[in-house]
Amino acid sequence: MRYTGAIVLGLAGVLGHAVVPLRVDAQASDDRLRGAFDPPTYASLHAVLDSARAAGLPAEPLVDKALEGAAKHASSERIVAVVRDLSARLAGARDALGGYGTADELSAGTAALRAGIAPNTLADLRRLRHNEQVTIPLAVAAELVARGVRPDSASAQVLRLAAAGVRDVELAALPHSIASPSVASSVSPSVVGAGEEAASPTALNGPKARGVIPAGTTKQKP
Amino acid sequence: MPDWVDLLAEELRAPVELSSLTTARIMAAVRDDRARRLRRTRIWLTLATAAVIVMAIAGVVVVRTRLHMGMVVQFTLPVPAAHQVVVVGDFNHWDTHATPLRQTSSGTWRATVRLKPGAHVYSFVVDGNRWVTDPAAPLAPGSDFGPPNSLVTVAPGAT
Repeated sequence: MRYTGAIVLGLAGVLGHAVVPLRVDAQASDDRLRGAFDPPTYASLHAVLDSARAAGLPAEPLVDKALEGAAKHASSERIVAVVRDLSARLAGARDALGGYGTADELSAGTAALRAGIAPNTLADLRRLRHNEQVTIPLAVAAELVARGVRPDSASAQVLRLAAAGVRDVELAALPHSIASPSVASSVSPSVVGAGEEAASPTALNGPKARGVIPAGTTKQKP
Repeated sequence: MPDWVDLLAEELRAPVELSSLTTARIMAAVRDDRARRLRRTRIWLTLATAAVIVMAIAGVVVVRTRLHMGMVVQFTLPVPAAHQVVVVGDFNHWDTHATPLRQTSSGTWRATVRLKPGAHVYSFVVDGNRWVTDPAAPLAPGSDFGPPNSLVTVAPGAT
């Protein structure tokens, strides 16, 4: 029946629209790896990536990690070892997040675990936000630790705000309200003393951060 | 009441005999009407399905856009004596040619990049071989390949 055909074609279009870019991304990632490494290293990395994909893990963070190693002229052995280790850590983050997660969530979860955030914090966040992504809360927790907050305090703050229903855009401003001695001391002289521009990274056109760190003032651009 | 009125009423109540041709025409008209209604229903169903498909495609596009909508982040590095500064990170696949900074009149180097929401690690490369972390940002946890990276968390775009 011609109507059924039209409907099937339409649904195929929707599905194609969702799936085709993923395949294009995967091809682009593969091309980048092939261009950056010699054939033996590429083969080793490809094997790690294949295993990761077979385990349902995202390949993109692994590719980026390999490319970071290439940019920093690390040895092939070191790069393959680090990528393999990251694959295991992504799997650990996925387990902590209840057995599933987007690529961004798993990357943020890996960074949070590496920063010292406890796995049960990831599980709690997933439970609190089971219908929403937890990328930003995890990234915020990791950044809080990076700014000198103790991991348990960072976890408690993020969980409290997540439980209160605070939106991601407001949550992301939280690290800028934390005074990090190392960052503040390195930034303040250049901003105040030498009249430099606010040090980077500065996000444009968004809500102003409440913090004392000039670098963190953020604005959003639609 | 006169008798002729009863007679007329009886005459009018009597069944009418139609010719077979007229009967066939009437039945054909009834069948046409049913077919027309069926066609109309199918057209409406098709239009409704098309509308659902269009809305689904629009939904996928909107969700994708929303997911990828982040913020424009400005990277700056105050190194007036440098000849070249680039920023590399997971957002440009660590490509040392992708995002060069431009030097302002004050000597500060600057570049703006739209980043999707989430955590990003990055570093500056000064004069092609010197890896420099951002003095304005915290260090990313862990250092896998020697020089450490900086960390920036990007909020979702305005909704």
